[in-house]
Amino acid sequence: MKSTRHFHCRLESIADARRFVRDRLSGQPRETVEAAELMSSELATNSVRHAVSDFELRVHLSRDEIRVEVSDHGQGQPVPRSPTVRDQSGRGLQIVQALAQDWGITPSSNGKLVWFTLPVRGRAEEHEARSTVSGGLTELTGAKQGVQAGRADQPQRA
Amino acid sequence: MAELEPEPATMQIDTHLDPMGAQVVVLSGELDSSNAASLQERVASLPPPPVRSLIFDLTGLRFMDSAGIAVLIGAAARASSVSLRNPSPIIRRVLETTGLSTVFSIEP
Repeated sequence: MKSTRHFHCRLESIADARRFVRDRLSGQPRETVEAAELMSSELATNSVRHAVSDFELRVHLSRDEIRVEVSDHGQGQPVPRSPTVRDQSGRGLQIVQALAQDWGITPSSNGKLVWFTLPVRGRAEEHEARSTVSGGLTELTGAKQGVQAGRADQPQRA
Repeated sequence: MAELEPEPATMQIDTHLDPMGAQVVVLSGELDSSNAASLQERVASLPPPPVRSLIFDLTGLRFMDSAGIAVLIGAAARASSVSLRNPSPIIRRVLETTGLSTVFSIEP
């Protein structure tokens, strides 16, 4: 499933962008939705405040992965900073780095695209819940595979 | 998809002193860069400076991003201690991963 929406360059669009992401990901676990919402808010804020640009938000929901892309017409490249605990700014991309499975910046001819991904957890959890109830061998195997896939993602999120 | 009219983030701010004399700021709704300045102004206007102890009650705050965190850090610089009460799981996670859980005391 892919959904795209255009947002105008105004601060009010940031809350709207969050709502869009939340709606597109309804049915996903709360932790996943909230992380996606927060990272989208940071990227939308960067488009409005730093690139001073309209932006387009794309949500791709596939079997294994959620991918969110925010593209704008800003020419500058966002650089992740390492704020000290007393610094008031510079935390947007730091939060994206901390919460995303993977993320990146792709320059384009008329601006840039910043993206992040999150794993889809629903399937593994669903399998686990089912195997707990039935103890069925097939479903138990499915659950183990789900857990292993989840673990394989861990180093990237560190 | 047709474009809907953007609805801004809405936040309520209530302040009171608790029985121990700490200044409590109760936040609810959503806090982002569209309304962070209004919280900053409210915190700056709190009587009487210097504030000794500041408590942000986040029980009803559904969303906060780095713009809100920036205001909390600014407040921490002016108070002897800043506590965050009942931050949501995602806010808690962000505070921990960014090292900010050492700046605030987090209750519970």
